[in-house]
Amino acid sequence: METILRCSGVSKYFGGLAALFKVDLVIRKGEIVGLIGPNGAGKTTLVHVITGIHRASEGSIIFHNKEISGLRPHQICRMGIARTFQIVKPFSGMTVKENVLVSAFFGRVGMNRTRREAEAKADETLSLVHLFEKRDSFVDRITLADRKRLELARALAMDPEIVFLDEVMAGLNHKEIEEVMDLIRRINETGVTFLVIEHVMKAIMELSHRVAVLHHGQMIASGTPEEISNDEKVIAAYLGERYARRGAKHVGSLQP
Amino acid sequence: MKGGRAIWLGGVLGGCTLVLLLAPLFAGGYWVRLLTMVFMFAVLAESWNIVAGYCGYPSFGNVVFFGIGAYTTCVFMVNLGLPFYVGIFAGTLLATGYCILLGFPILRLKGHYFAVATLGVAEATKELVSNLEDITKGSEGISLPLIAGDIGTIYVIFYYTMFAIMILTILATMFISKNRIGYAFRAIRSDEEAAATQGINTTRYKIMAWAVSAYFTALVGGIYAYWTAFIDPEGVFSVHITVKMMIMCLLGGPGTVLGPILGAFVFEILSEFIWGAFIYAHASFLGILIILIVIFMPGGFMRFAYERLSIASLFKNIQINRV
Repeated sequence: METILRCSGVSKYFGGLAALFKVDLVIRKGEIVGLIGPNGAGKTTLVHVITGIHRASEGSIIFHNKEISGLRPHQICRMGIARTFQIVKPFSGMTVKENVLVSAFFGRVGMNRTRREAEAKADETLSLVHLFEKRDSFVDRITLADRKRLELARALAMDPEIVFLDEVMAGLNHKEIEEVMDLIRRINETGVTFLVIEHVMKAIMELSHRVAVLHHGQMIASGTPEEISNDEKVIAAYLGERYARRGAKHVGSLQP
Repeated sequence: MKGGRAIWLGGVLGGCTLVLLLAPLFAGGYWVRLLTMVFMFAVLAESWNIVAGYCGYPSFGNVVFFGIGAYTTCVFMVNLGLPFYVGIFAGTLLATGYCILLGFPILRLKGHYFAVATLGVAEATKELVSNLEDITKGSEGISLPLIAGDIGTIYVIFYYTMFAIMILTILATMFISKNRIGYAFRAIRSDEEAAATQGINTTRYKIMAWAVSAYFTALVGGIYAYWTAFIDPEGVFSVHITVKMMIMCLLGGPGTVLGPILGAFVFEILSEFIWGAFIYAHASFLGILIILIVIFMPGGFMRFAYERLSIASLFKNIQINRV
């Protein structure tokens, strides 16, 4: 499969702290890649660096044979990289639909859309994430679960080639997680690539084709879900002994 | 129900427009002068609304564009002997250019820092204009040659000119608010980082918002200079003009199309009457009134109407600022 994103030796320092240290990551077209690691491991920082919110201190980020490190967030977005925010960032004072409309108006190809086309795109995306009925509610008045759906809808309305999902499942219940996973799979089948950051381990193991593990800003392992759940370093750093014993039997299943 | 309200609103707006169009026929010179001033401040408040209300960048120095518009018009007419329209064209061009140039460094600042920087720029520009004596005659000010003809007729012409520009500004704001540009502005106001990741070139849209604001501000600045026939730096670069446009916008409802216009009418006419009724303490009365309005109607008349009387649900395309 064709590589669409390649991070080589990416580091990010905040003063003396290395939030990321020589991280290598390859994402191929059509994949769902899981990114796991303890809190503070640098997962969100990596997404910030790739999407241009932070500038990498060193290293290169190649998207479709183009260096994107140093570009501004909107330029990176227009190349087809969309993301959600772990701490949701809806545009307050706007309705649910207007929020998605912004993404449909801009995003990768939105500049070419007329208002009618942008509205159609927004409606279509809202139906996809089951928010269509709430489209006229102000975002300040919807639940956290709906705000997470809204983050997802905004990312999808940008017509992305690759989507970074930063803990969209956190705070959702079992059924809602199943729904989101199903949605990610369906969209993935249309050719969209995903990088999924998540602490819901069963979801990550079931969903991902490959899993990468960050620990103290360093990539300590990467491989299939099975390989990762048996990796000694990963068990020590993140998963814990109990998960390894239990998880080995149940990889790929949400039911315990 | 909705349709009925739209008709009702349309009727009110249409009626107001008709009254204002016919006013010079029956109203005296005093009202013509007062309303011309109201129209001017309506334009200033609406211009401030575009950058502050929609885009979330409260410029405390917007008067600088008013002053540049006024001074350029005067310098072109008096020093170079060119006609008014050339002067005002140059004025708007210069002010907009100045705004774009300032925008690159200053629009990187946020909140209070942006406010202070714009205030500084306005004061510095005033000093510069005061000291360029060869061109601007310094703090003495510039007098324009009086326009030949009947003074009443001339004032009526200014009345209609300001009125037309006010309508133009409202239409421009309405266009922006319904358009992709308006969504970009409001996204930036709400969360600049998120706006950028949705693909919005934030620098470009912020500069655009401020430049549109500067253009209309300079336009009425030039007309004001021609109208009053005398300007000096203290007058046309006065921080009071900025404060007034802000108060009017905040009273009426920032981030709405008609709020600032309503704010300008209420504030200017109210302050005129209070001035007449309380010769000595009018500023205190006005101050108390502003405090009361802000306490009881945070978010302005439009928000008040929207939430309490629900009249503004009529104004379907007007967005409520929920900062």
